[in-house]
Amino acid sequence: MARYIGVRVLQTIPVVLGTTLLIYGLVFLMPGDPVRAMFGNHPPSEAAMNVVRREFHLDQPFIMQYLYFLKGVLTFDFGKTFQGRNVSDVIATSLPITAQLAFLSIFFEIIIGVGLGIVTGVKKGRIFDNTVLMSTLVIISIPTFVLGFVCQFIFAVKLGIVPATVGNYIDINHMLMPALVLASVSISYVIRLTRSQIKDNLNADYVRTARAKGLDNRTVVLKHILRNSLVPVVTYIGADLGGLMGGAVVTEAVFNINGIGHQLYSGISRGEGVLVVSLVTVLVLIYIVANLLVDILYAFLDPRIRYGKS
Amino acid sequence: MKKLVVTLSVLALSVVGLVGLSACGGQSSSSSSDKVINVYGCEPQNKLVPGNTSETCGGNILLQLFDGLVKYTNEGKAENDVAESITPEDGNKIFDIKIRQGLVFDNGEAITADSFIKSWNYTALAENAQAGQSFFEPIKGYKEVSEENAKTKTLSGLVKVTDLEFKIELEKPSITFPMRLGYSTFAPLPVSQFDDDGRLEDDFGDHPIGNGPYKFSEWNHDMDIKLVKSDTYKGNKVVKNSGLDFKIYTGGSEAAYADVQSGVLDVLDSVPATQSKTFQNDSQVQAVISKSTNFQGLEIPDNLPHFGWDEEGQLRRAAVSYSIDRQSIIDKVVDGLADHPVSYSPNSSEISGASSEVEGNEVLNFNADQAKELWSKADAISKFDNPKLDVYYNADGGGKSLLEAVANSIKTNLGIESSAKSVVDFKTLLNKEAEHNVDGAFRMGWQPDYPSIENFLAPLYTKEAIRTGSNYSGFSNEEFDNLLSDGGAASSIDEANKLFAKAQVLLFKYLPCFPLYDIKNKGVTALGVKGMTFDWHSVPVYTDISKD
Amino acid sequence: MNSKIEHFVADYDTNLSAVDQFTSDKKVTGLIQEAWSIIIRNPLFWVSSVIVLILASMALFPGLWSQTDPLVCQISDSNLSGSAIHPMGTTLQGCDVFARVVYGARPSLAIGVMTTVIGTLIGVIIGTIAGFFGGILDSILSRVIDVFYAIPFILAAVAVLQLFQSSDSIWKVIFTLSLFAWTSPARLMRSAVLGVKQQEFITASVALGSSQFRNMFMHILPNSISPVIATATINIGGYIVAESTLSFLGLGLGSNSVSWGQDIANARDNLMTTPSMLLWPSLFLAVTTLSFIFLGDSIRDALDPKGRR
Repeated sequence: MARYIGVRVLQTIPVVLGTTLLIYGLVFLMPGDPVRAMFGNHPPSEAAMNVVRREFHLDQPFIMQYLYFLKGVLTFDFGKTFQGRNVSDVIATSLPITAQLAFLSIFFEIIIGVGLGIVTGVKKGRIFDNTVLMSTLVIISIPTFVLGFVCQFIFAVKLGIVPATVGNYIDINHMLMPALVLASVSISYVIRLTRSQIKDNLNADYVRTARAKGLDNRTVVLKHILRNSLVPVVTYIGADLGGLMGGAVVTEAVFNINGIGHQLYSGISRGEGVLVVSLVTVLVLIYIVANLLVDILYAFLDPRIRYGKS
Repeated sequence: MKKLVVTLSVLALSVVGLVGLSACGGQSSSSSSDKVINVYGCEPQNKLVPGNTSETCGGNILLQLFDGLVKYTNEGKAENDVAESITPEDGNKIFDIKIRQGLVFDNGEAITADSFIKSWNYTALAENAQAGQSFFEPIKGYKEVSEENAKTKTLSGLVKVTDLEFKIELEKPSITFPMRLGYSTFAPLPVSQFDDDGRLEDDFGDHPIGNGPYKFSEWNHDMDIKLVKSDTYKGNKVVKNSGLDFKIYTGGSEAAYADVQSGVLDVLDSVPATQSKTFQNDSQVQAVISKSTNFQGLEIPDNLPHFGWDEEGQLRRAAVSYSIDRQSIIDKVVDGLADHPVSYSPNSSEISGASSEVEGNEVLNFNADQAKELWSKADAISKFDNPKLDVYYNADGGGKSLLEAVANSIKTNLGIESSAKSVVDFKTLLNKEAEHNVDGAFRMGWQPDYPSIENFLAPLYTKEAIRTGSNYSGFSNEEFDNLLSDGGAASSIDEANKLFAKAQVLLFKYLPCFPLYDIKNKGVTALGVKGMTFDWHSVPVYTDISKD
Repeated sequence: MNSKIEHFVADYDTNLSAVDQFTSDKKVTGLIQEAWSIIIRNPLFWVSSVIVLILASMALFPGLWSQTDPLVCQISDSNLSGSAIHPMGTTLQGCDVFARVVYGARPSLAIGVMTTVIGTLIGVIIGTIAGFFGGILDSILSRVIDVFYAIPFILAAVAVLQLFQSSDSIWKVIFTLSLFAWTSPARLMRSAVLGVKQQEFITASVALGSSQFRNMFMHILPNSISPVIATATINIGGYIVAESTLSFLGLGLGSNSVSWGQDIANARDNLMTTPSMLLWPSLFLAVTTLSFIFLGDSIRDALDPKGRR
């Protein structure tokens, strides 16, 4: 197992290099001159704009810009944003906020998603199953930017039971609703996935054996079926972490959360290559760790899956 | 399973309980003048340096931190503020500025002629790459300092006379120049913050030292910027609160509106599209609506075939303008929160030289028959096969429904193909505009820098502005340019405005751009907040705001 | 390798004639026939098939359902509620909502179904190969998946859709969504294959000389596909909504094409006054997703060897 983890950690290097190069390419491909746009309707002299271009190496070909970035990373200097902040400061303030939001969302995915998945999987074709299915559909059919807005209006503005936005109050109380909204679509997937896995396993031989041994239903479901059903669910949730961290742009906007998603989006729209690539580098690392954990979990959940063959 | 459900409901209840508690605590009563007002803010694009800010996020804050030589009354009149007197000499080519005695920065440093000269020289010099650089273009010596590897580091047009007096010499006469001096780019900076080479301290913008009614206190990036009432301030403004907390909303005004409804935010100086129809009847907020000086138009660039400046192009441009049903668009899409336009500036008493009676402005009135007739006249000159005029907007700016309505209007009333096309963001559209590379018409929004009709014309339609300003239509007309420079050289404001009015007549003939509507200021405040109004250029008069 | 032989030894007393039967082709044909006989007895299958057929007819022949042009909009008809002329009311621009819902079916279904099909096919192939062969192939494919997961969707969407800025074709949306649609099925498939390939019946089949590819397609694939189908059917709805988010960001289809996603995005601004603008396209989207989920469920129930009684 140790060897397996070691190999995986080594594999991180090409993944990070590949991803950052790709991202730099994408940022470079985007049309528009970020420096001209920076000055809006009051452009200064060409000479002044060239000063900025030189400062951020924007006058260099893309591969040089990428090498400058790599050089910076190796010396632990991610560079500066157009505003003049250290990119590392931006990451240091926004990452914990996003992490809190993402982990709370994952928590809801596990509790609500897996919970409802088990119930609907075991009780086939009941009213409860259909109610859950319908709620799932409502959530799937409404984009987050509408769902978030509606939830905010009903629960915060009209009923006043949760705060409307997060702003600088980074605590569970303020994050609860955003996390639920962010998790909602994934919860639907986790419910469907768990449900289908449970149904698959209900009639498996080992379940019959377990029942034949006289184990009660609860033990059979929680101990045997669930464990055998979890591999795809864990896969999905692990992969989702990356999406929740970087893809929460809409949720963050609706609830005024100053997280990675917002920084990424505004970095993209301002054409700030260095900021975008640095943020993505952090996301890749998180994602790789999450996936490694998932792969290790496989072996724990399903002893038949083995790594590091001797 | 039961256990799980119970745990969940306990969790939910405890959360609700927590919220209930936090809502009750911390309300102490005190008189209204020592309250801090929570106002809507957005993250400044640059650090808080007046000369490096030409956008509203930073600009609104800098306006509270710095007083300029002149200030604008709420009616748009420029009045001396830090200046004791501004005396024109040599036919408005030179201005002699005397500074009021006894005014200080928040660090106790006196405001002198050098506070202005050092600040302006710094902003104008190319190597400092300041966003406000172009504001110094009228001053003599600008060309030398704005060039690549400039040898001269200071503006030759700035001459110190005494500690409290200096002269500004311009490249050419401008009667409107003193009016411009209220823009925050022209703010003074403490001399102590410059090194011997005239460079501003690197971290000045992280904790600016100003001379305005408020003092900078704290900046948590993307969270909030806190200002407190300045205790050294001896200027003209009266502050009715104890400070301003600019809460930064990274995702726009929708979240802020919800916060105003729940009383977390006191002042929001805009209304999101989702609330535009309802905010006036919303019992959880107080609505504020007033006229604005913001110009909204549609530009047709001259790189489009058939839309040049010749007779055919003029006819087609007029036809398009006639075909747009502005009043219906105002009623339905802008929810009535705009007025029908009459000229190339909003019809506002706050703008010197604004007029509702400009020759040729009937082209702004919807007339489908006239539109079709002019279009076929143009066809007689040169046939336009598969006629099409798309309209472009930047998707991050919220112009979608407006431009869809404009496109529908053109399509229905002129019978040509027209649809609204999105460009992903402002940066991309601006670049296409600047390169004269947009394949259709696009929206032009203009927030004036100083309250004169000149500012709605010179930066947008002169030949020079193609290169240095915001002339994206490519309009270039010698007669127009001459009228504007003659206006600047005029001996009185009235005479200048007459020449500017003549220039507008030319715009109505060639139509590089046509006005769409005069948008109104709209904002909301939380219940219990008093004194919220907009100043002449749509910034809340923060000093007047108080709350119970 | 050792462990596999041990398994075989453990099953030594298996009846050899039964094993022969298992490898014969008859059994495989029977699998599909049996699945079909199960599926036609499932009422959910019929209900969802009828709905999908109705939607398909809207997509193929919208003129049968509405004669109104969804792109001819009079601003004077803005924000009307339902009436005889406009059964579902009008939009802010004065377009007929019913006509837009009908004409929006084609691009929306095409985006939802095509993206799901493309993403699932690629994902299943890559995931199966990675999980089945393991080793270096698995490492390479898994790391490629990691790279795609790590690219922020918005960034890629901006970059890719910019390249096709002038085009109004739905293929640009399908292409962009598909770039990312395959990663989740691939990972799900890989995880399922990892589990299934170690099961006894596979070991048995290998031991009996069944070829690797035959094994992969005949035994491992049907036994591992269930999680992919479970998510794929929701994905159809998910991708239609994704187009809505793209429209919201100004990257979707242009204003001169009609889609549910666009109308949902547009409806948001009028949610407080005219919620019906959101209701109708969302309702059609929900019904579509529901039918595909039911279809997927009945196919899965019929195909899955384990779920059969």
